[in-house]
Amino acid sequence: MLRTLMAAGLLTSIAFAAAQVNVYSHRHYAADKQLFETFEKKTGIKVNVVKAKADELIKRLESEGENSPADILITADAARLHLAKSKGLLQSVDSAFLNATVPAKLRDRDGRWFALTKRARIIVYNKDTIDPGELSTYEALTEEKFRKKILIRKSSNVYNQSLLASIIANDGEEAARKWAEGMVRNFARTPRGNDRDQMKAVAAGFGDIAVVNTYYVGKLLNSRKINEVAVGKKMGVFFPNQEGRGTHINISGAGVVKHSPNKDNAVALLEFLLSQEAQRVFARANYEYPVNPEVAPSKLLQSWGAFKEDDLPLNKLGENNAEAVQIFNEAGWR
Amino acid sequence: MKSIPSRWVVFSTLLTLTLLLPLGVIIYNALGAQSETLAHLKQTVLNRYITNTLLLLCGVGILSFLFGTLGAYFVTFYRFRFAKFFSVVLVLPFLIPSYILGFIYSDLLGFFGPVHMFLQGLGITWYFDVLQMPTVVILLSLALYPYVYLIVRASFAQNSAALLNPALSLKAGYFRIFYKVILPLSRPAIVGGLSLVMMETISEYGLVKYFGVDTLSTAVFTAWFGLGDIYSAAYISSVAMLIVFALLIIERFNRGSARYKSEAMQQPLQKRRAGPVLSIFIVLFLSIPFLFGFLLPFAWIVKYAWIHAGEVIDREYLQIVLQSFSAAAVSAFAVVLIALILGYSARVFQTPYMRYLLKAATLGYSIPGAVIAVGILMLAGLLDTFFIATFSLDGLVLGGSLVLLCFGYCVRFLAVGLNSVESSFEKVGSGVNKASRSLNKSLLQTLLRIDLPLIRGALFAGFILVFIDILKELPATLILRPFNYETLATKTYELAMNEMVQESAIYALSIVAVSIIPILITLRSYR
Repeated sequence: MLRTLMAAGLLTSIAFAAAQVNVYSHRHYAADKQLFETFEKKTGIKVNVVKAKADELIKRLESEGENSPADILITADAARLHLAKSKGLLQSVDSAFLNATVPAKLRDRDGRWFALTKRARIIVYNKDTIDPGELSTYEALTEEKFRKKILIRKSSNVYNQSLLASIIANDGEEAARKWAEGMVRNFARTPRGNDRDQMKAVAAGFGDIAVVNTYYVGKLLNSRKINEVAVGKKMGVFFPNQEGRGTHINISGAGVVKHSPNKDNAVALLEFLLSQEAQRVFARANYEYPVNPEVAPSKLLQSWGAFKEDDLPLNKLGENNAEAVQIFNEAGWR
Repeated sequence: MKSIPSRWVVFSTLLTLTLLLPLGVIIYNALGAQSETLAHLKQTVLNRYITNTLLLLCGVGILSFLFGTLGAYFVTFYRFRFAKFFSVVLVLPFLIPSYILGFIYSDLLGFFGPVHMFLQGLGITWYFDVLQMPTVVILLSLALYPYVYLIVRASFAQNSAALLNPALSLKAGYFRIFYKVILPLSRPAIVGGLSLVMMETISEYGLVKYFGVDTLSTAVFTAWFGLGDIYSAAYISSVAMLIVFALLIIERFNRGSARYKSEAMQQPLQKRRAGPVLSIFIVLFLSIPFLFGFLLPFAWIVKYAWIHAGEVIDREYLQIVLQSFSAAAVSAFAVVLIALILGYSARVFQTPYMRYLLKAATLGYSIPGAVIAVGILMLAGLLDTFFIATFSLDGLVLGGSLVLLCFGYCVRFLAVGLNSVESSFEKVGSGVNKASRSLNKSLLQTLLRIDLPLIRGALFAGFILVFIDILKELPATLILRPFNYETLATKTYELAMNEMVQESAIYALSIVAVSIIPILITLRSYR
């Protein structure tokens, strides 16, 4: 196995471990921990983890520079991976397995990051008040007929920023601005709370339509609380823009850090996380779409049917992020 | 008198500069960055952020003042049923971190939560939206008023009998005594407590973010991470600091040259018996913060901790408790030590320089923990590069070590420790200190023999406050922690963020349990 013997580590206890891989992760799910443990058992490589928000982990990588002990950065969105790449914090990985397994649009052109899971940002609606025939695209949500009906979280949320970034890339800046302004006009209330709160507000009658990530619908439907399950059951799921470019998707993904001291172990961990075994755990545990095409999504996701994805290169989400935030601010999207 | 050794001042200056370094690094990095972003922010959102922050400050300030000062007043100066009980339990809301309070109340009051469902059971289908500014004001006040209560109560207990007993025996009216004697006397303590509340409010992040209220502290993150402009982030941070400074200066002008301190010996206070109507009012009034700030959320925590106890109590859990406890204890000790050195220097050398130095040293408290943490990361990066180049080491010395975390806590929470030290020194007065030094005792001897015993109680209270603050601290801990390092706070947060709020109860309960014993001991020492 890939055992790199570190020079005698005098400084931190972790440095004593013979084979290890150090992970900075924005993901904080029980399934991840379980996968890391499986990896340890299989390979004998110890996985050390620091969990914090991606922005802060990126700052940490920056300030540690070439002395950073980190081998892998995991984020829960594509924009942050692009940010890390553009700051020169990630290195290129050329793995035959990864290149064959991860579809081209779900990995960086230069191999600096790879998607681990994907999620779609979809429209959900109150089945009692909305006829899905009225729904079509993200853009159509700005129409007059949806006045005071739309619920969506704050503009500080990266999934909204990425969605707007994709609209900037697809329709241009002017259209994106019009879209943001139109959405604000149609808001049922000032944005607040997380994606699940938006659906609860729909169920409570504060609006009729919400824009949320797919796995939150799954979490509601599988909640331990019966009231939340009831909320989930009230929601109709709609994949927008199927006639056109496809539904906006985002990913959680990982890249190997530029100055990774355990690069071989890092690549081994990445390959493991994209193996069928690990991808099945991701799919089951968190209602995310697996990236490995050999692995089927969970039954629930399958019941929503296959859908057309927006094929926009995910780097664009990062490139347009700052512009998206500016447009949000100017449009008065809180 | 002996010639004054200025090394206390020099040392204090060095300490303060060290604590300010991370902030300096951020500002230094900010220089020369683009400012178009700043113009954009000013045009679009900054005014709203400032207005929201000021509204929040006003609301939380008023409510905390009411709960804290009146609470301390009633339990100190009146005899009524349950007085002893309330004097203890009014501190307890302090043990529950504001973000956990937020999680709990959004669970209870959110759509389809128990309260909504109960109303529906009664046939009332009425949905109210809990995610609002007023909720944030109330929750933050509930979480923060104990600062005012604790500090003001300590000051009531420490002095005042000598001045109050005459007023009481003259049968002066309640309101007059409160307004004319008690308020002015405890002014340093009230202001001290309130300024902690204000700074804590300005740097509050988790709760305001979840409840959708944009403040300067959320704006720092939007500017820094969303727009990638550290310059604007530093600018917004300084607006927040300016507000804090303005508050402190207004108070100083308002107070003028008057100094309120009693140098009298302690004597027992004659408590006044509350009549039946007043008794009922007092009990009802004091029940509000106790009930909603502690009992209800605590019952929630206990319920779910009980349900999920079997799932989480294992070796990892015990390790987390131990880690949290030791990190908090060591850091709190460091904070109190630094506070004592600074506070004592300022007491001996009563110059404007020392006063400003002390204010500067407390700046970290008004800055979001995450911002401080990032400043520390940058600083550590520079130092590590230097160490590695100089001593040809092959790994980080500071980066990812507990030293950074401890330093972060010191920067962030010095204000809390210093507050206890300063207000107790003000109470004691400087007479004893001068007397001792006129007997040719050195400054250090005087500190150890005379001053320290006098303020021992307040110092211990300060230690406990800092200890609990550190136990609850989240954002800086998340960023600065070593590999595989969890504290009770990070674990609570992680579970809550994974929509396992109820599963997180056992960790929240542990935060309360670890801190409840020391806080009860502190309270006893004030009897």
